Amino acid sequence: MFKWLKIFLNELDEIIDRDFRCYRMNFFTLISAFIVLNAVGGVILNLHQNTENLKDNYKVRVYLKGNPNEKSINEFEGKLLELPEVRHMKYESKEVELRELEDDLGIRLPKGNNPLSDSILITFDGYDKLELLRQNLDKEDNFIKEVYVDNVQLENLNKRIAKNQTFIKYFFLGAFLPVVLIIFNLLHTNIVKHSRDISSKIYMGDNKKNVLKPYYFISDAIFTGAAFTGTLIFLNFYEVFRKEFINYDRDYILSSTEQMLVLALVTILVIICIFPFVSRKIYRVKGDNQ
Amino acid sequence: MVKFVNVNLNGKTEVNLELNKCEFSYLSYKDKNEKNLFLQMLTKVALPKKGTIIIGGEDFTSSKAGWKIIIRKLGITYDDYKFISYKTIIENLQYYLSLRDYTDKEANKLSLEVLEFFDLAHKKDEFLENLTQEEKHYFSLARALSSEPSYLVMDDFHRGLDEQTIKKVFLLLEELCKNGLGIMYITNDRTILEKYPKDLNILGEGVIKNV
Repeated sequence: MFKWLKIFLNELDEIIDRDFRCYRMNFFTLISAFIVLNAVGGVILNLHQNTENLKDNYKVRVYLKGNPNEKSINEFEGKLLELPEVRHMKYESKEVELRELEDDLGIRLPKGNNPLSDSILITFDGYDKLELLRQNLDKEDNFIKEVYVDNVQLENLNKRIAKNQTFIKYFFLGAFLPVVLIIFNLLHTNIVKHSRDISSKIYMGDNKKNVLKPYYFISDAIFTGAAFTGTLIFLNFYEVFRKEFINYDRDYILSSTEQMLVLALVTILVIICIFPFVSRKIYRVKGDNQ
Repeated sequence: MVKFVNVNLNGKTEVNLELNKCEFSYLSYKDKNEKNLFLQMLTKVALPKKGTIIIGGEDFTSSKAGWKIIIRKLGITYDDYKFISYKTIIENLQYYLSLRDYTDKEANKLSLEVLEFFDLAHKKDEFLENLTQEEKHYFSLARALSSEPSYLVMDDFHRGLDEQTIKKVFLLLEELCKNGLGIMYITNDRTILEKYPKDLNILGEGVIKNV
């Protein structure tokens, strides 16, 4: 009843036994490739998250005229939120602002003497939307006393974001894709290096599907084992590195290990789904008409 | 008999060929791809788009269930041997015979018999890389004959062999032919064609001509 299984296991045993060194080498190379893949993926994820965080710093401060009441402030905020370029905003009363100013200057000003105005800190979509936002704010001149834009800060922010995005592109094209190709090549080689045996078996009269089954099984097993081992090794290193880094620089937010795990699992799943399919498509053997 | 009936080789023309028992003939070729396709069709690695191949009176191209039995009747030796590198000699033979629906016991018995006939029994547990060129050739022939076929197709079998061995091989082939085996020897080697003259078929531009 299980003759096919016996034959299959026997074939696996013979193939692995004969090429054990090569498969072992392939396994360790794949582990290294997965460590690098995860590291590059980690750099990309962190850069992306950092860019997203930076994007939350496109801000302008709008000083309001007179002493508006809560209702009119709410109405004005509602109007601003309807603008497509506005992400979110924060209202700050002049008392709070004065306290912040006092804290910044390290002095205490006499009470009842507050020259500041109420303000709203608007976070908007990006530097290219600044002009549009200004135009829209200009229409509200009966409510707005002054719009304060720190152009230097915004330009620097813009440069940092552009630099991050360029790095992401370079990392993706220059490191992530090549490592993916290396992994694919290693997988494909697992099958291709046996071309002569595969072809011989088919010429002897065996069915192509049967012939390829043990080779694909070994290749997939090596890939899955190496993928998970490489990923776990990387995650351990990442966890240690992250803890050290957080102690070193608390301002910089590093992606959590859980986020990295999700990224790694998604990458592995995508590779598992695509690679064998591509490999089987690329590796063409004549026959299988039996 | 092995018969190609209107088999389409190159998409344009049709091939007709017949090989009977006790017949020894040559097949020369103009295009190696056509020769390879011819061999692929004999092993069902490629199927003709048109026409049929009959082996031992049975339609080889359309049969599915009885295919393993039909291929018992045809032995082929390839110019690149087509051995499985990770199997020993005996395992190669057992594998070959298992594909022809022999039981393990039968396969074992036939393998040992044929290896003894070719004086390779002492090397049965060796891997093929440990065989000499001559032994590889003999093993290739042994494998082709292990299923006790009625027809034998040999692709440039003499390549890499010395004259003495070629002579021995041809004597053996003639003996086998006398005992009922139909042999088609594929080669372009003029010295072989002249030294051991037989019926010559030429495969070219999708047509086989008897000359």
